[in-house]
Order: sequence, then structure tokens, then C-alpha cells
Amino acid sequence: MQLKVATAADLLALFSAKATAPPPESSQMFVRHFQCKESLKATHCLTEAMDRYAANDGDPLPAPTELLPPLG
Amino acid sequence: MLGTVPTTYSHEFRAELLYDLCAALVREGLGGPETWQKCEESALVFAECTIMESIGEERWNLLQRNVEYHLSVSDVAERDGEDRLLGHGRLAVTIECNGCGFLKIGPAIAALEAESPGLGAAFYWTLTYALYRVMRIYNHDDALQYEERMHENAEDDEENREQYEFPEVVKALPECIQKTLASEDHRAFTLKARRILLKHIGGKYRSWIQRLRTIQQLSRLNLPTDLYFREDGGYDTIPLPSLLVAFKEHDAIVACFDEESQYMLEGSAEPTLGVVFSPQKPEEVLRALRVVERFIVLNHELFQLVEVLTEWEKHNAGTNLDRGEPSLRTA
Repeated sequence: MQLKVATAADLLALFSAKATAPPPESSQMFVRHFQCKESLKATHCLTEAMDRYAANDGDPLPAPTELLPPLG
Repeated sequence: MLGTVPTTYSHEFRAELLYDLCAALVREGLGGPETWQKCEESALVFAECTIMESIGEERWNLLQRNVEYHLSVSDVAERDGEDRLLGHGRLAVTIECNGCGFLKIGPAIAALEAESPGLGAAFYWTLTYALYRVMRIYNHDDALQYEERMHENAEDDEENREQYEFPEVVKALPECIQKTLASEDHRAFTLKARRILLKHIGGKYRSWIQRLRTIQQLSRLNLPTDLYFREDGGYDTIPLPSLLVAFKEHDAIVACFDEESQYMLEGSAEPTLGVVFSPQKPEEVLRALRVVERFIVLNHELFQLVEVLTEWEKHNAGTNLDRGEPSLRTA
């Protein structure tokens, strides 16, 4: 709920409430992401793929070799 | 499909420190509900806006015209050459100078000496010692040291010794400064300088002398930069100069500065001002505010003096003020 701020005291109360409030969900997600090795690796792969896609005039990226069926 | 992907993302780590800072600013009467509304209830904008408002538009514009200062409040500070979290709910306010001002003081000294022998030298030395207490400046002393280093280099360089060109700094100094350069009794000289300035405080150059007295008084306030920055920062060099003081447009001091300034930005330099404080401790907040306030008020006086002297010179000495492309100079 938004506090009404009309005086300096209101403002101080608002800052105090905000300082002790838990971080927003988006920030918590961010923290979880940085603490997770798999998530960081996935991000790295994605950004790398985006760079390659952009450098390749938008041509579809080749599938990774490990996904190809083994030769008979 | 990409239209649904957010293009901006805002994230705050340790946001509680930012709110503590905002609360401290409000407690000191520097910001209020009106500013909060104006800043669309963004704490970051509120803190910035409150600091800017307390500096004031006139001071801000004056400083912008003359010098390049960067003020920042951060929860990290350099320690042993690396950015480190201050911790324990502490913040650091720093001011760094990346482009120094320029004061051509020669014509003013000549005018003061013509008014009364010794007055020009008294003005110069009093200003120099006052500024030494608060900020780094580049003046005849730095140029003399540079010249000395050049002589030492030339002595070590037998093969190319003949190719060295020395700036001859002493010759660039006005006679009254040369005479007082090696004053052995500093205390007696300072006393004499104070007397002669007081004698002329209501005279022809009263506005300059009164401004100098204000600068001197402000410099005497005991509000030093925190030892944290001096002793533990691990910076490559002392702060970059905030002011270049020369006697003529292209004299030996300017030449030395132009040579030295080419390398000044290469390493990390200690901030011109740095104070560590906890926003939850009112006495520390007050001290930090006083340190910053003194610095800004003194700089305001200093650069007003610089502009007054420049304007005076335009009408009285009629020299060209074009100093070409300076390497580190702002004005």
C-alpha cells in the first residue's frame, strides 16, 4: 500500500519502511539467477547463440553435434 | 514476439543504503515531500536531485564553466587499488577532478605590486597556501620539480643530453615571486603578508582581497579527507590538480603542465575529496555534509575570483585568452 507523503516525517517513515522491506520479486529472481551455475551457463549459451545468429544474417543456427543421431 | 520482451531492467542491490541516505538528507533538511513528488518517487533520483539542489544552480553553473568535478556517493571505495565494498552500512562521498581550471595570475600580481610593493607576492602566497590545505593545484612548485627531474634525467642520459630542452621555470616567475621564493622565515613572511593584505582590504583591489580572505578562512576549517583514502586507497597518484596557476598565457609553468598532464590520467588518482560515513549516524552525516559544503563553497569563491580576474584582465591588460587545446584543462 502506498503511504501518503505530506511531511518530512511521512517521508522518513516511507524510507524506513522501504529500507526494511524485502526486495521485490524481480530482484530476488536476479539474485537466484546469479547464485545458480546452470542458470548462468544457460544465459551464456543464449547470448553467444544470439551473437552468432546476428553475425550470420539471421540464418538458422546449426544444431549442436551432440544432438545429431549417431551414424549407423 | 520480441515486442513482449522487456527492453529495460532496473535492479538495486543493497537498496536499504540508498533509503538510509535519502532519510539522512531529509533529516538534514536538504529534501522534502515536494522533491519526492517531483522525482516521481524514485529514491535514486531523489538523492541526486536533493544533492544538486543543495549545491544550487548558480554554483553548479560556475563550476561547470571552470572545472570538471564528479561527485559520487557509493557503497564501494578503492582499497589497495581495487573497488571494495565498504560494509557496515557505510557510504563514501567522493569528488574527483578530471579537468582542472586555469588561473593566469601574472597580470593581477603586477597590478597589486604597482599598487604597493609586496602586495602581489602576499596575494599569491596567501592564495597558494590556502588552496594547498584543501585541494591539489599545479603551480610554479610543481613546474620546478618537473624541471629538476628533467635535469636528473639528462644527467643520466649521456648519449642524448644535448637534446634536452629545459623550461627555466624561475625565469618565468615575476620578480616579486622570485624574491620571496626561498623565504627562510616562513612565519615572519606570512605575518608580513597578512599585514599588507589587511592594510589594503579597503583599497583599490578590495574585492579580490576580500574574496581571498574568504578562501583563506574556509581553508582553515579542519575538515580533511578521510585517512581511508589517503592511506588505504592504493592509488597510483595523488589527486589530479583542480587548478593550474600560471603567470602568463604560455609560460614555463603551462609548458610543464602540458607535458605532465599527458600522463596524469594513466593511473588511478586519489579523489580530490573523500569522506566515509554511515547514513544512520547523524554526526557522521553532518561531518560529511560539512566537508562537501566547505569544498563547494571554497571552490565557488575561488572560481568567482578566477572569473573576476579574467574579466578584469580583458579590460585592463587586453591579452588574448585563447590557450589552444589543453590536455587536462577545462576552462
